[in-house]
Amino acid sequence: MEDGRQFKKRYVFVSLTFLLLSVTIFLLPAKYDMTQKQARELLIDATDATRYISSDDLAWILMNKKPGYLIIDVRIKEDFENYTLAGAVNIPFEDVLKKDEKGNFLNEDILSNENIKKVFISNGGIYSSQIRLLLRRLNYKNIYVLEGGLNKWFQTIIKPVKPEPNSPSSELELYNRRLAASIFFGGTKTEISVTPASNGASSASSVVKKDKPKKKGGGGC
Amino acid sequence: MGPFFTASDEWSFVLALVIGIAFGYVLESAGFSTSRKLAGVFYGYDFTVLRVFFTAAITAALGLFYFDYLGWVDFSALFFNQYYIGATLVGGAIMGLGFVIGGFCPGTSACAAAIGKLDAMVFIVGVTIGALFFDLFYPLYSEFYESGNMGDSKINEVLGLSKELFLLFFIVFAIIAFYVTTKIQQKVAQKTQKY
Repeated sequence: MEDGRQFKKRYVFVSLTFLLLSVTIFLLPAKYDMTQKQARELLIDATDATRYISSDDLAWILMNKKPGYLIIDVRIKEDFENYTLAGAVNIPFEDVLKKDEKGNFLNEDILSNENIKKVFISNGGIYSSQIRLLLRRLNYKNIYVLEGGLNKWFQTIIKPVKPEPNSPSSELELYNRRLAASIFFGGTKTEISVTPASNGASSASSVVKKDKPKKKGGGGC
Repeated sequence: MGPFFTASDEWSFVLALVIGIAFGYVLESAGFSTSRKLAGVFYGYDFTVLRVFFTAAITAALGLFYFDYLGWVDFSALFFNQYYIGATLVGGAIMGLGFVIGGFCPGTSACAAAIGKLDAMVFIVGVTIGALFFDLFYPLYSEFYESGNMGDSKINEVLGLSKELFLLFFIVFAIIAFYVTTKIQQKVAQKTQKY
């Protein structure tokens, strides 16, 4: 009988411990989100050289209509309507990580599609890089940034600078390629309207040929 | 933290050996190397096996939960076997029958054979022959074997409960099982004392 009672005590103790541990789970604060990248990992990722797609590469991709790429313009709607790259979709910076009432990302379908490379573009490269970092932190894959943004796109593809005659042949070749790309893209969209300045509603209709995007009022750097 | 070794790592064999020895030692210490222990669950005179396995399952579940919470184990990275409902039911019934008739499960038979039990050695021979026959006639029942695949579905998901709530229910259920089996065991012991 003595043995039986001790045997029971032991069982009561183990049972209570199990119960306590399982109830404690409900009282614990929300778990740290392991799906997010850790700081160190993120730092390495943020400076990863492969995050960029150069304007030359992107021009080649667009000219050859390479499948598997989606260009996402993160500038404001007006800027997007004024000028963007062929086939680009507009998801303004603030809307990229917008959630619906259920707490899911509105653009989840695009973001989580690992079969396409998402190339983010902005005027400079700051906003697109910020978006990339946010998305990489959430472990989305195949996120790229147009190096130098649309500013560099204009400098290199739309209005390439002619190198000196005594420049190395590689530079001249690059220039020739850019010139061809310039004709290609210029041919499709030779006129680029400039976003009105903050005070200039009247200049909304002004159309300027291949102007630099610096005047744009939207995001960028 | 973790995984310490990947499946392809040659060190995983060494780790498996160490864990295997520890497992065998614990089985033997708990008295599982005797066929009476396993058969006892069926005849109602010894529910140690049920208690031990329930306790092990709860300990592992609680441990996994806390380890996951502390970030030591990534729960989402764990491997779960595919669940085939028909094959599981039939396989479970055959295995249960084997437990009662043989008095061993594959693990405990190896443990008992290691300490020189003849019945366990015969059991292992039987298991090997059974596995060979299974393989030989596999085409006959391969269709059934692979039917009813429910993926790596988890019972709490099927029931629509959260992991935490299911664990709580499971523990309560286990405690009830402990209590009921103890009562059955006492009754059977009283009965056998009478004669």
